[in-house]
Amino acid sequence: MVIRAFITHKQAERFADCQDRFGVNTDTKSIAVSDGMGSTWQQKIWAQLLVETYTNSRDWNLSKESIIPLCQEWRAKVSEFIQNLKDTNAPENIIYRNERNFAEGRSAGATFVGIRLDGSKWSGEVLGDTCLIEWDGNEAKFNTSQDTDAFDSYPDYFDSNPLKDGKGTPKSIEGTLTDDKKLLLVSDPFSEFLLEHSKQGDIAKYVQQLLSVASHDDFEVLVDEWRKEGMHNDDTTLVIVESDNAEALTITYADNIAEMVEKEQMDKESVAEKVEAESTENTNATSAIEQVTDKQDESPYREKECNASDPVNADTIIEEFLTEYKSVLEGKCKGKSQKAIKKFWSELQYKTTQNAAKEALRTILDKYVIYAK
Amino acid sequence: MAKNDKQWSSATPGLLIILLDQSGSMRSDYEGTTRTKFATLAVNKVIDNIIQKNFDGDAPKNRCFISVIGYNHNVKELCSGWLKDLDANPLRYETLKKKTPDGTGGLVEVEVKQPVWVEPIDKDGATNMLGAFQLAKDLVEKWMADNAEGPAPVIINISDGVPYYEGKDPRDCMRETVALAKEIMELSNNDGNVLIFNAQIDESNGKVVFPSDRNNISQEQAQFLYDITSEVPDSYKAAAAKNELPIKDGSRGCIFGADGVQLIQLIDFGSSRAGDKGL
Repeated sequence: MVIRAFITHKQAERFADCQDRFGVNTDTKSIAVSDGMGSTWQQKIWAQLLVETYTNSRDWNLSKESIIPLCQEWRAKVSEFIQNLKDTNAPENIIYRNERNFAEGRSAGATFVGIRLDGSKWSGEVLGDTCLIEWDGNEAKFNTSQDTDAFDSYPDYFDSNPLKDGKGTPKSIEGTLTDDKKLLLVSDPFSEFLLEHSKQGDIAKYVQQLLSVASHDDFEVLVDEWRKEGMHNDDTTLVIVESDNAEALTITYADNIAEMVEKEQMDKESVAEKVEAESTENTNATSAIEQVTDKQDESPYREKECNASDPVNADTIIEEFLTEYKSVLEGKCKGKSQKAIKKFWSELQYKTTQNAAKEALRTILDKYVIYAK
Repeated sequence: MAKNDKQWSSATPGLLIILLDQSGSMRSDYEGTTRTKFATLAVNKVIDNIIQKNFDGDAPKNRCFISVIGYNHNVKELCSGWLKDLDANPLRYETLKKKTPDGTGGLVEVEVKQPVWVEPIDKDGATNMLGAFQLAKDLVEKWMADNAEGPAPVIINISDGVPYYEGKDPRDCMRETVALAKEIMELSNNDGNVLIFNAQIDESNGKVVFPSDRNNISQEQAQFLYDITSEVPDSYKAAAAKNELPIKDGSRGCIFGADGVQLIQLIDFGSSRAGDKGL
């Protein structure tokens, strides 16, 4: 059997944010895809646990009973995660929110599809809108635990808290992979998009596009195009299984999410270094502003005593405003790195600067009575 | 009918504006406390919930921008920011005791820090709801100019009465506010029209929940609320059902005479686009 596997994150997020996971184990001949649910917590750890446990075994099957030991494992991994946050001096609010969620028993949810191959026969389980699609060249059969007319925002899922029931019941699935068939294990953006096109009668061209994906770049291009055609913006995973008349599993291509996250982090660090260098220039520019302000502090206008009958000089007000504005803006950016400040400004556009300007002006205007000309 | 079905995401973030009545009457009794204390608790809770929905353990995802505008005789932005910044910068934390499952079937009392972004009022004041909607309109117009492809903004107004400002006849205030609210509801982008949902928390004049026909409303103040509220789009019907809000075709997203539970349901319903797939 020949395997190709691809994964990508939501638009405008990063691989580090991706909550989908997949696994392919050529020893156990097991393949699994899991999608951590966005509104839950520490779902990446949960999705990874489900996928690893399934694919590391030849006979472990997913059920509400069999996942109970995994719930303890999840809890232990989350506890390690929180300890690591403390050890690395993570921001206080991040530590607090994780500790609070842990204390309150908040949990992770994830959908799942997994199969094991025995010769050309395959069998497995599915829960939620992560789906196994059997393609015979003309028609697609969608294997999901849910009613295929009702993919919505509340899919069936496994819960990492053993005291909670999750939703839905895992469905056992099985079949035979013959030369004329392909199996596609997919997460929900593909499930929904392909189901829609199956109903419209034009799914064939889309499946052909999927089957022609040979690299991660191809995959990103396809996902980007399909998102423009209406596929919803979410983490997206695809595993293609094709028969080559051999019993052994051969992985011809597989994305590695851990490596992608690491590369992303390295790229981020090198950009941060570059920004640090740029911010030194900005600091020099800021120092220049400070110098001008300091100089203006010595100006004759500021030294002149104003009596009640004199209007306040506009230059005086402008100088004081600039000093106050800088102070207020720095307060709003307090604790942020230079890179974060730049990103913060670009995301917020005018709002933070406008608010800082208003606050600074208010402070200044509280000190003076200004006469109209 | 406008679709309003675009999910709030990092690529297409949403804008949620909460208008919070801070007039003197909000110091009246409500749900064992005062209206202002309960309402600010509800607002702080909804901000916290939205952050929680978008917090995977690493950091809150900036899938929406929240602005809370308080109004009495003045109109003031009480807090605003992206989720990550709001989470990093509450006004303060309140320590509460909470019973939580201990993992073995029992309950254990733990101390929980609850972030506070908005405080209750303690002074008297009028009800410049018009001014609040005007500020909201300015924010919405600026936002939509910069985010034409994103979700249409949502405004949730929490009040305990009708607008009253500048010593004007309340009927004139209501008329002016209705006119402005209608202008706001006419604003739209590719996702649909700007949505306004309302909760009025004075229970002394009866209750009207998600009305679909103005002619069936007898209270003048409830008719006013109907007039400044958007019809519930199809995309919000699942959220209405999840919050046990009675919905039918043509229902407007407002509750007149909301009790504490209904206030929280309304806010939860109105902010339901904020987050990924839910439980």
